[in-house]
Amino acid sequence: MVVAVEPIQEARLLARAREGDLDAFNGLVDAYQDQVYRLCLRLLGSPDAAADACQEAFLSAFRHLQSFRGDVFRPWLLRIAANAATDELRRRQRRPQVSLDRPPPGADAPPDFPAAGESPEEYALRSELRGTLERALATLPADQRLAVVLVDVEGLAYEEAARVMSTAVGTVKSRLSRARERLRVLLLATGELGPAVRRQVDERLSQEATGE
Amino acid sequence: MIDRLLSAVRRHPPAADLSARLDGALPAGRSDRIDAHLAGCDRCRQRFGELSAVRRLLSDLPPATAPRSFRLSPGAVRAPAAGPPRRPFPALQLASAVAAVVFALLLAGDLSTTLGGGGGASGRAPFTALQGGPASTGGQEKAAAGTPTDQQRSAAGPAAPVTPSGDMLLPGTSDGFAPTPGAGTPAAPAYAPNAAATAATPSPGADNELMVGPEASATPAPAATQPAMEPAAAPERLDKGRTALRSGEALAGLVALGSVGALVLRRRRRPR
Repeated sequence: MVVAVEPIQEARLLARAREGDLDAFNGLVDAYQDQVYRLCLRLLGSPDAAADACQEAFLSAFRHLQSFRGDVFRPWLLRIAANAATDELRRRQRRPQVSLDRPPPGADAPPDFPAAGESPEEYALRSELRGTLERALATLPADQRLAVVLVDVEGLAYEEAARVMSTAVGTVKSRLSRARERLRVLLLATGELGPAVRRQVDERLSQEATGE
Repeated sequence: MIDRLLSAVRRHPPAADLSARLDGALPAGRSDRIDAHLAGCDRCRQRFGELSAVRRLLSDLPPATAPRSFRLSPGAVRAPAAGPPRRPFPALQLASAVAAVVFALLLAGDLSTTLGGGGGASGRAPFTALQGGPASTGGQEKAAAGTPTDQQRSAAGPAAPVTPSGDMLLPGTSDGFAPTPGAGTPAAPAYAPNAAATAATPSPGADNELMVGPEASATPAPAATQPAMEPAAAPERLDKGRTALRSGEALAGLVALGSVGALVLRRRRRPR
């Protein structure tokens, strides 16, 4: 996860951006664009759509800076990003010729290179898995997908995810659990879960053995 | 006690609990019970492992980075927002505008007929003038009743601002129509349920007039609970005209109110 600018720096940039200082705002863009893009990518599945949504998100954020009540910037920005992704999805659904077909696994930009010591077979399996996971994410209802992407992919805590989704922590928990359960069933059916489960079980056993 | 604990442990935890256990988000007691269950239940342990694996797979997704810079240019900021702005449903705006116009016209028509229509309604005009917009239709809606026991009349909110102490329903008023519901509750505070009782009996002599008046302004069906009320025969024709007008006003006012309300709700739902 890319660490944003120091909080003090961020506060300064925000203050100047609120007064219309575009350069200051662009400093914030630099700090958050990876995260915003990543969120849009996981929500939309297409790098092109994600790029459009990301651009829209920052435009919208700049235009609505006055309404940011100075709490914490990240959840506010991510909420705008999630909405931009929803808008982009609707826009593309209205124009059927622009398809949201997923790129084949591995064609996702930037390319995911083999890890050190990873055999070609393992790399191929991992790419395939990634495609499967992304397809599985796409089958979720939007609010469940947002919950699971925020918490499990981006690593947000329940409270921050709740702020991004403008809802209660309990709602986040229930959407999250439903999303995970759906993904579990889907991935189980594709056989992707087997090796992963074995690894998890081994880890857990070894943790218990060492008295975790 | 032990039995209860045992049965709690024996019960298969729901998916939501397993999910929360995964995040360490359960209170200690429940967490321990789930762990105890997992220790002894293959099915749930398997399921828990699968959920854990799903979470691991998600967090292992490659951290995609932005393919280019998304810095804003001054030109981009000046240009209008790309794509359709999040506008409230345009038909809704149109509907409320139309309804408001229709309502205003009907109100004007109402006013002019009553102002020119003779003494019977002389007292009524100021009421309708004062009861702007939806309030008056609400009042008319609710105050269909003519009986003294009609609770609805008391709900004539619009009566409140225009409630002088019983000026409308002076027993001496010849037609005493009090066609406006507001008139029917001269001394009633708005929405006071027992106001109907007090309002309904200003004087015995006025009772008939009371009954006649609101009946004359017969409002849309839901409010009308006094079908048995026999309106005086003479002003019946005029009343029917007024009835239609009132119904139209009520409808238009409701539509205007409804669509304005929907617009407000839509705006609120938009994220800030």
